[in-house]
Amino acid sequence: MNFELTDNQKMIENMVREFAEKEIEPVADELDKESKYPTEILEKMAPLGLLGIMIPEKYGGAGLDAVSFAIVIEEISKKCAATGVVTEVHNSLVSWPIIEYGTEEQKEKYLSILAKGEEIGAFAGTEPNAGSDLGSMETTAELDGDHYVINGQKTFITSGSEAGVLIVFAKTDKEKGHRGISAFLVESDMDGFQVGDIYDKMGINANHVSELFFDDMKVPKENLLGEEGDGYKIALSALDRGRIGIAAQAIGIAQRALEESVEYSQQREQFGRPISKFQAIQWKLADMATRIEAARLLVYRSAMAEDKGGNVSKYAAMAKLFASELAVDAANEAIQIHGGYGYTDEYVVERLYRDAKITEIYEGTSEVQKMVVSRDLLR
Amino acid sequence: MEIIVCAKQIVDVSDIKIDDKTNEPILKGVDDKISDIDKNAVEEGIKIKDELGGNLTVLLVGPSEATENIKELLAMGADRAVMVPWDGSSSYDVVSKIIAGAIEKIGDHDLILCGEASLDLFSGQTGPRIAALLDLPQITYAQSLDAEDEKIVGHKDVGGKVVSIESTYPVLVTVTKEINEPRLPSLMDILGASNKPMDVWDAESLVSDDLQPGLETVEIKGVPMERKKIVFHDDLDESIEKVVEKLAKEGVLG
Amino acid sequence: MVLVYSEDKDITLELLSKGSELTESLDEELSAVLIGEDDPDQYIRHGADNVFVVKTDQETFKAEEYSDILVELMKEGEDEVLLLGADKNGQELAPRVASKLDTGCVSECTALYVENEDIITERVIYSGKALAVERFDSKPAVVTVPPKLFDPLPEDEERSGELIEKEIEVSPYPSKIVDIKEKESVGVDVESAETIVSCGRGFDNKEDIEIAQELANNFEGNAVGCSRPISADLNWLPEEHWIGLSGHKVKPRLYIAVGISGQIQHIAGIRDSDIILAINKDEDALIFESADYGIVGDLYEVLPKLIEAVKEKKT
Repeated sequence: MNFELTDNQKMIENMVREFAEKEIEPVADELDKESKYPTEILEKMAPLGLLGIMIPEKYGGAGLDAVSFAIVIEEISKKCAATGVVTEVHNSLVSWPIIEYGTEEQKEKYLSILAKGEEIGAFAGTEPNAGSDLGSMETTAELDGDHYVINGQKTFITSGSEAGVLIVFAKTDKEKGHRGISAFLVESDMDGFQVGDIYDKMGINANHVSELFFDDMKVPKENLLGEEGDGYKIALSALDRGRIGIAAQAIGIAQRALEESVEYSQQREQFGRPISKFQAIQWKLADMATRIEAARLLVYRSAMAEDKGGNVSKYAAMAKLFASELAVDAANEAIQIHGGYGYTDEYVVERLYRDAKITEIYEGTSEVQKMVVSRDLLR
Repeated sequence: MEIIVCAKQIVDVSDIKIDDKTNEPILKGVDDKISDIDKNAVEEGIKIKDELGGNLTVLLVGPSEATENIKELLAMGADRAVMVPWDGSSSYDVVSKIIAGAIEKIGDHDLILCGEASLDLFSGQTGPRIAALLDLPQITYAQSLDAEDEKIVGHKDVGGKVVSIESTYPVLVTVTKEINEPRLPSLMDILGASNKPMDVWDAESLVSDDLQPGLETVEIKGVPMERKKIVFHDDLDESIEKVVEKLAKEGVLG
Repeated sequence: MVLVYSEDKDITLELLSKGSELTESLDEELSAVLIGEDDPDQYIRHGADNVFVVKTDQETFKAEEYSDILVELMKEGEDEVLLLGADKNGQELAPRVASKLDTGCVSECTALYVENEDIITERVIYSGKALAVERFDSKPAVVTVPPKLFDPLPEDEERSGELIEKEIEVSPYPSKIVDIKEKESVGVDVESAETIVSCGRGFDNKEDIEIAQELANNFEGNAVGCSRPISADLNWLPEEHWIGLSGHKVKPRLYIAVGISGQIQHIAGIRDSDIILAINKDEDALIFESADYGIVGDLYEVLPKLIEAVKEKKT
């Protein structure tokens, strides 16, 4: 049992923190206000290995553990939660299933592109009628000679309009429910691939979330990931890893909310003294800090289950459930501490509040996380 | 080209708070790090090494826990680290003697690089002191460097003028933070740093002198962050005269 | 003996003023060192008991040779204090001399006094957050003193003293100055400026910002800054000048806020300034709460007079 990060993990934390302060913080507001995708930031992240965190070295990645992955996502999200989720999806939802289920050819082809950041990855699971219930997915894939022909639509896809490599889920057997789902490695320049509307969202504006349409999209047979019918299993196990990342993103948001609140409360004077001298404020700060520390331990616990073997599903669900609710509460309290100023775009807490909410929804709502945890308790 | 970069571990000054009651700085719980400008020196060393070939050694005299932070310099691109644990006096005369002793033990050195000063105390003594102890020429406060095989030229800003100083090797150079932007190590660099050699040497073995500090710190006290709030609102000419007088006393009219 | 040296004449006069105070407490003589050509008698008139006039081949200041000269002068080992100017040249000279003399050195002291026969110095550390009080346990005490910290003594035509000519040969080092040129001016960089004159809504129109620039021109490393409305709302100055929470955070030695009301967002950008001077016609303006010095008055009246007063004080 050890609660200390290793030397390397500490160094990674320092490096990403410095990177985020220098390269992300100065542009984060602008990206948010103008809903600009963080293309330049991603270009700077690639040479640092931040787009191939868990990809093995032989494919050009860093081959690191899930704890390091969580550290990276937290530090990036502290400065820009939207860049955080783009990085999270690329590293976990897209790269991880290829590492785990890909053929050697698929790994060589796609992991090296993803590790170098030559293309950004997207994970296309959700459909208008299939959110938490993936089994009701309507997109189909039919084998036609050496190709699959995919038809259907996806929605709420992070980086959907920007990604070059996507994992697309489609039913190869409509009769089998979730057992009929398969996963495909799709390139955005394949014929029949089309990007639909990009959503106007409440927060994480720099992350472009879009609809995707597949109209007789021909995908080579060798781009099937795993076997036919493996799709559901691949999606769920990828989401387990993804949730570690979303939990880390939520902690990043909460930690920032705390740091901003500590600073502001020591500067802002009311009734002749800094508001940090009032117990009402002190208790808010103490509660925030305590819950952040607990959430972080839970995230590391789930990442260690991934690294050392253990029930990733359960711990990742707990971590995401706890951390995302914390992010919403912490951002809310941070605005309260900032008072009227916190409600303006002059202070970053306003953005944190808008960014926090989605962590309770995507990659499985809080309700789904509770289902996962309780299923483990009651089996 | 044998390059040695001297680095110092410091407390993160921006984290330091002053204790209301004792009026002393609170150093407990404050993170430590490699002094920022020393990273500029490492970066400059790496650039010169990449251009002219050679070896880059980073040298740190300081608390034994600093090995953690030295690894970051190895990750940036130094080939080797020498760590001299020292928990004794941090007086510049003492520390520079240990550093000079370590440099002599390292042996070959063409270029010794230091930051212009450390961010905690900002005295700028260590570089010139090492140069004096080793009887080397010094180029201080370099804002840019042109290194060639046989000589190096440093450019510095002295009172609005750019002064260029040329020297053959060996030479000691201190650099300012404007000289470059230190690189961040990649994840792969960080993993690779663990395989680079780090020697740990005993300070006493490096210095023959007795290490009696020439300076003793009597007290460190907080400077109140409260503003003085001296506002003049009577006769304008008089107000201006008094304010200019005050500013001169504060030493900010220079 | 207390020795003072700077290759800057003005600094030397300031050092003599502090030096004469020390010699009184220590019951010692005060000597100025002059390297190269200048009038040595002015140092006598400003408090020196004698002046070492050093003849040397060295044309301009170079730390290696000049420190050897000072070391040669002090080789008898009887000197108590060596005061040097804390300009760039003095800063590289002092530690080199101290090291050759195997003694302590304090850079940029803010106070220097004798207590129980010990030399005590104070200097600012931790980015201005703390003051270190240090005691010399070695001789001579080498100390660099920032320019303008002390006022020169008034000139006394009656004073007399000895001029001691010294011919000191030092062997040259394998380094040389190869070029000195005037610096090209660069774009504004408020974050590294030493002195900032910053404009707020008190200015009536864009052209008047010129007056702020005129004040700034009297300082080395100066920049003109502004508050949010001047840049973001009125576009009188580009964003590079905008100081505040969403603009640049600055840490100059002197920040002069002119016609700025002092919203907390602006204050957040200037907290790390060493000294803040505020000029505002509203005596209840928030900015005075966050300033070291304040002048209540119309900036159009204050600035021209302030410019004159600063010019006068500096000459």
